[in-house]
Amino acid sequence: MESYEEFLTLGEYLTDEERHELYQYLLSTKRNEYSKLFDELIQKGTAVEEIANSEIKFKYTKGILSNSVREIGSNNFQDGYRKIRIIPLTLFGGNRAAKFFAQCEVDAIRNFPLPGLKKKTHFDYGINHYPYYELNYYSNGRGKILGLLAKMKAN
Amino acid sequence: MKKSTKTGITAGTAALLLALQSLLTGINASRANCIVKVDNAHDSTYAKQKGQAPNLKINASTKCNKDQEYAQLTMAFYLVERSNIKLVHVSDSDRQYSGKKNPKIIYFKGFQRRCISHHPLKYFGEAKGYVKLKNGKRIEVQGKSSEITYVDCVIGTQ
Repeated sequence: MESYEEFLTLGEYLTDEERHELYQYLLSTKRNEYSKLFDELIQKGTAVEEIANSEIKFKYTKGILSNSVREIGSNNFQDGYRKIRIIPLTLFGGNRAAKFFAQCEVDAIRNFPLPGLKKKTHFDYGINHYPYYELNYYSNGRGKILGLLAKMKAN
Repeated sequence: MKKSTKTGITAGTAALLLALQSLLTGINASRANCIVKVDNAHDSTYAKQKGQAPNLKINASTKCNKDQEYAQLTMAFYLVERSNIKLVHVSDSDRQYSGKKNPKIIYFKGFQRRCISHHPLKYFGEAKGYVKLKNGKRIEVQGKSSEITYVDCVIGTQ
């Protein structure tokens, strides 16, 4: 991966591959932060964090973790369009939450990058439809079994 | 009942025909219609400015006569060699939510693939997906680049 700082400025110019690399980078380097964030969410129900030029608000209610996002300096949070079901006190709860946080951060960097060399031209909100933590991402929506096979092949 | 001397139809029939015509016009006007426009393949100037290998890039946009909630597209990158057309890359399924300014048009600018070396090759793109309108209706869309263009880029196949 190129430098993380540069990726924070690229936003819409990040390719599919670069966004996926960024996701894997965040997941491997921010495990402890994600673990603390998850604990805060379980206790308080909401947590806010900043990345690139955005603020992400995570909400945990009735076993569902969801996100909303806003550009720093703007008034209202908009829907981040991601949701995941999490059972907190299981072995995989924290792991699933970490993947969710990393995915939401990639979405935020894509849509609200730090100012950089390249001017932002895109003002709609865009996400990759199948999140990186789902097997459907690897099969492009053709099912989990094909996704698992594609993931094994990719690895 | 009075008949027109020219056409031979009654005033009642004429009124009925007029009402039918305006009903059909109204139905056509309210029918949702969307298209996807796929630009020609080109190389991303940004990477070149940085002195790196460029990315192969194909932009697309969805345009409807009604407001869009979001559009979801997948872009297939095709390589044309002599008479053979080869699928070289299928992008992630990308979803763009409409902006407030003009919800009838949604732009997709993220369909890119890293070039692994330089060589002029012919490419075109094909976008497939659907548009979800604000009224809840879902419309399937599909479109291709209008031209096959040379791009100085070799991309890795999947």
